[in-house]
Amino acid sequence: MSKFIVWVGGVADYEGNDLNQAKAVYKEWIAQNYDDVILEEVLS
Amino acid sequence: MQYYNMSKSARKVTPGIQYSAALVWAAAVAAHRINGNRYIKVTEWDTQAEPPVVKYRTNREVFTELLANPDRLDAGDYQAGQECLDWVRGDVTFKALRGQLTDFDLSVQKVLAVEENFDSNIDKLALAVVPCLPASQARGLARAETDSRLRQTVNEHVSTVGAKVNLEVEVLKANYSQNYNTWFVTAVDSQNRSVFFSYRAPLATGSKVNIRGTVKAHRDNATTQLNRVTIINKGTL
Repeated sequence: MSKFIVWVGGVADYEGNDLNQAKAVYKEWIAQNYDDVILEEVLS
Repeated sequence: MQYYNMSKSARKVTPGIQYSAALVWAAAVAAHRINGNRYIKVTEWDTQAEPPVVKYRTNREVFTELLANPDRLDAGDYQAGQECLDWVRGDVTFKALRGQLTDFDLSVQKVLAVEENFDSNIDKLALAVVPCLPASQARGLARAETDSRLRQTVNEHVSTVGAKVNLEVEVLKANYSQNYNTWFVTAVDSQNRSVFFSYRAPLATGSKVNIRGTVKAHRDNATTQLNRVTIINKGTL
């Protein structure tokens, strides 16, 4: 099962298995003009 | 129009109760101990109880009660009180020599100037400052221990910049940054190398954890800065 992490400035802001929620968190930060935002998929 | 002006020097403060300096410092460390080695500034309530009950009284309240009941203090409190006084004196002297005295340190200097007896009326301000000093001592000692531990680390960086690493680390300190709403963690790994990273939650000092992260930079002081750190599970260091 995959785990998704949204990194904001190198710190995890979301960690979980819900890709849709991870995407929502990711878009939220991008919409606020943050540029150091990464959505990472971790295979466990 | 006539003005009535009473100069500061003309004001008379009626002498109050006399407390020996040894008693004052012993009461301060005892209050700190009674409150779980913490400085409680505002009364803490147990709101789960019905009706809510006081969980911890302020150090100042406990301190005042102990001053009125010195029979509740033992030799250990007096010993610890003297050690606290010595530590605070050394700390303030050190800061004074480096020209780093804050307004609070100036208040502490006034406390240290009282060598024999504190007067409950004349030294009211000094008596208000003493209860928080054991917490300063505890923080200072913890800081010194961390610094000493960091000096013992090997002069070696972890991996190469950009590499993903898995490490077993022991947390030495975790400081909260209000600006970034994150915790800056300093730790040492199983090979005694120092690492530094940001994390979104507090990590207990002394806890051992397995982490995964990316090497962001190799700092001058042989500290490796990690980025994108996750805790995998509790470590076994």
